[in-house]
Amino acid sequence: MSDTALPAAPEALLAEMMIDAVEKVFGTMVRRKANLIRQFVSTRDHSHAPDLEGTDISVVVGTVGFIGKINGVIYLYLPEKLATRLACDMLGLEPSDLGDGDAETVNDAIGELTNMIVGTFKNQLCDRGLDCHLTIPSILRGSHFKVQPVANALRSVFEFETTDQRFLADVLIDPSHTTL
Amino acid sequence: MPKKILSVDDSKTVRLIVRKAMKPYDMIVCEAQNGEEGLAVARAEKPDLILLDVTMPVMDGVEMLTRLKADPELKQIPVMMLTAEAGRENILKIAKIGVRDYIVKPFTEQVLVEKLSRIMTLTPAAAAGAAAPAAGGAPTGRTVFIVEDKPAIVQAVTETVKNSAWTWKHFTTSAEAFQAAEKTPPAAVVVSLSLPEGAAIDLLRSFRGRPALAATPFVGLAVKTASEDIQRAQESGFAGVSSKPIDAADLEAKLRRALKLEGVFRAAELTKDHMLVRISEEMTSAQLDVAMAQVMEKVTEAADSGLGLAVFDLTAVKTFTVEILKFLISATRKCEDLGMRCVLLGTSELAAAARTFDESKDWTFHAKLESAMATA
Repeated sequence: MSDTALPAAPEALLAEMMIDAVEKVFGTMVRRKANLIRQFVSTRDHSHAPDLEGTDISVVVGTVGFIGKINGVIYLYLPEKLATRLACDMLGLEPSDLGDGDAETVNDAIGELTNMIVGTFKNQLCDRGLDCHLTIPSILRGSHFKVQPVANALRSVFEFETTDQRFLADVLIDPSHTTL
Repeated sequence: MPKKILSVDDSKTVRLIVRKAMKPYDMIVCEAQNGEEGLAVARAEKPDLILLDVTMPVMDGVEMLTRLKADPELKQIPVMMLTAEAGRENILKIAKIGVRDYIVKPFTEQVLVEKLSRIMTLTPAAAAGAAAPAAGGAPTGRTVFIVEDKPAIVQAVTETVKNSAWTWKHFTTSAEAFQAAEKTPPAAVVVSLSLPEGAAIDLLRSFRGRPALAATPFVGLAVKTASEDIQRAQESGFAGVSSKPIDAADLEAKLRRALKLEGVFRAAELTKDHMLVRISEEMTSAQLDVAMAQVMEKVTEAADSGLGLAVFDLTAVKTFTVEILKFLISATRKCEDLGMRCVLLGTSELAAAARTFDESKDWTFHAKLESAMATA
């Protein structure tokens, strides 16, 4: 290898960068503490990755990728109730201020929250010589689904808790450009 | 005439946050969702400043910036990047095209206002003038809300705690107080813990849910025997609880502590030949407001006493902030209006930092009082 500045076993470093990004963005944009509950890291077997408790709950999933000398994508899985709370916090609103037709407002806010988390994460990669750019955020909504990663992706799943609700950050990195 | 900024971002959330941050100011905020729209709006509206994201569909921020700088009619408009793209190389590449400043997401409204105020004068909107300080404007944020449904307690508080620099505003319900706070944020809230249905703690939570109010300190009022209420308040984030019947000294001490004002009340004093104003390191806006109130009182006394010199001692200050700049502009203006000459004491690093602001670029800082006195 290697045109990268990641260590031979980058899992711990990537975890530190991701936890830092989530905590920083939550602290700044929604003024809430996000506490890490547990994390899962694997390059092959993804079957034990944690899910949000209760597969039947409605979730809002923010997605942003990064492309360049390192490629990857990060999914932020939020229960709909928490997504609405966080959107309101960002905009200085109360949930009661949002009507039934305001899913678009929540989607946009969660897209931007994800964009900031992934941006903070990938800027640390850039500063290590792994230049890459963000993709435009996208949002998935629904229940009873999870994204199946490609078999050899370096996957790290972080379960956080904020305001007594749990959410997941699922980090998938293409190992072909790293030292893995 | 209001200033005009153009917010170019594909996120409606970011555009709303920018609009909210600018609401207290006399400012028109135009919006565009991508670079292509941004160029069109810039041509039509000729904004005083453009806030520009990088990653956007249709046309990204780098391309918009490149085209803007190539357009003779638009190239003079200052551009501030507001983006999550902040690797060193990205910043250098964008800086080469030409931007005035760079805000990396995540960002706070305070950072946005501070950075904008370095480039343009933010004038308070007429309707919200009391809520938003502008460079050179009057000090604000000295109002303390008291939320209490018993008139006797209100009277005891406002009449006994009257030697402070703050002014009281009374509300009988938490809803009224919150509504008023959204229009004009108070410096602190004193609230009775015996309001029905846990309204005091609900009020604190409502404040914490609003970015503009989240840092407001709360002091509770409770009878000593209400130990459960007191414990709940402390666990919820109250800065202190003062007991009923009202002990003015205790309440004032707790408020000062909550506002981090201890030691500030002697910021201005008169010596035999000048008025001395000391600014300590990392004073908060609220502390500067109190110091300003003192200056306003002392300067009249100084002028009446025939003193012709005001010395502003900033030698303990390491960071020259917008708040300090505003304080100095207002305070020195008041002194000069009364015929007093002003001199500044500060380190060479502070002087260099002051030169980065238009308003203070010509100011002279003296290292020692002796050299300042010699020039005066």
